Amino acid sequence: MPELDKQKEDEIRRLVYDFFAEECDIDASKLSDSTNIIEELEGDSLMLLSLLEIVRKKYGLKIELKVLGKHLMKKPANTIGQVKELTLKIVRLGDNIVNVDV
Amino acid sequence: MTTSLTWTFNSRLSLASCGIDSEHVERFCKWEKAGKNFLPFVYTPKERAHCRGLEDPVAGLCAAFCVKEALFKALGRPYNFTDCEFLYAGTPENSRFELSEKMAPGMRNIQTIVKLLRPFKGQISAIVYLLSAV
Repeated sequence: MPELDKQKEDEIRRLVYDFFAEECDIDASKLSDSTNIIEELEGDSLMLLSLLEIVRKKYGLKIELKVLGKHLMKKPANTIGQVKELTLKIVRLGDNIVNVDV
Repeated sequence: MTTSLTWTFNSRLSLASCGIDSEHVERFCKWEKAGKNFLPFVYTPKERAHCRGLEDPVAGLCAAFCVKEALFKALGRPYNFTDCEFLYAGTPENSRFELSEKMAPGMRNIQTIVKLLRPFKGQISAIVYLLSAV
């Protein structure tokens, strides 16, 4: 499994936090890995797709929605921490994310 | 406004499942301004081109997304949104709904009905019914 360096991991972490702060009009300092996106931020699938679009453009990824959906059925991403982990996996693995044991 | 993309009803069919989605149109404004190839995993090039030609392109993007998301909920399993194409025109006779051949294996003997509603100003809802032979 390809690994990401610390700098890139931090960059992705920042990207996820900044994204939710802007989308939900909330100060990023008030967010944490345990913040529940659906219950606390009223997030939804469209928000997740918007994040995916940003990640896709930034890192030149081609991931199929069906692949991402299959992964999310096995391992849901309800908190910011889980979305951050998911984003790291997407950047690392792209479509191979479906083959990862969760 | 209620838009029905079903033009016939067959009593030999029973409701297998249905899915619903509702979105605020304004959430799609940023995509309309996002250049040519935005959300390639959601919209087909034909949908993007179609929406650009509409009087209200944002409503077109919103309606297509609602239909795709409602279909996902009706199916109960993930699929590639680009395998479901919805060309919104505001009226039933002009809107077009089509599933790609890739969807065929799971959709044999299934009839799909799409309904669009505008329950509130600035909001579009889609209901997708999947009907199977009794």
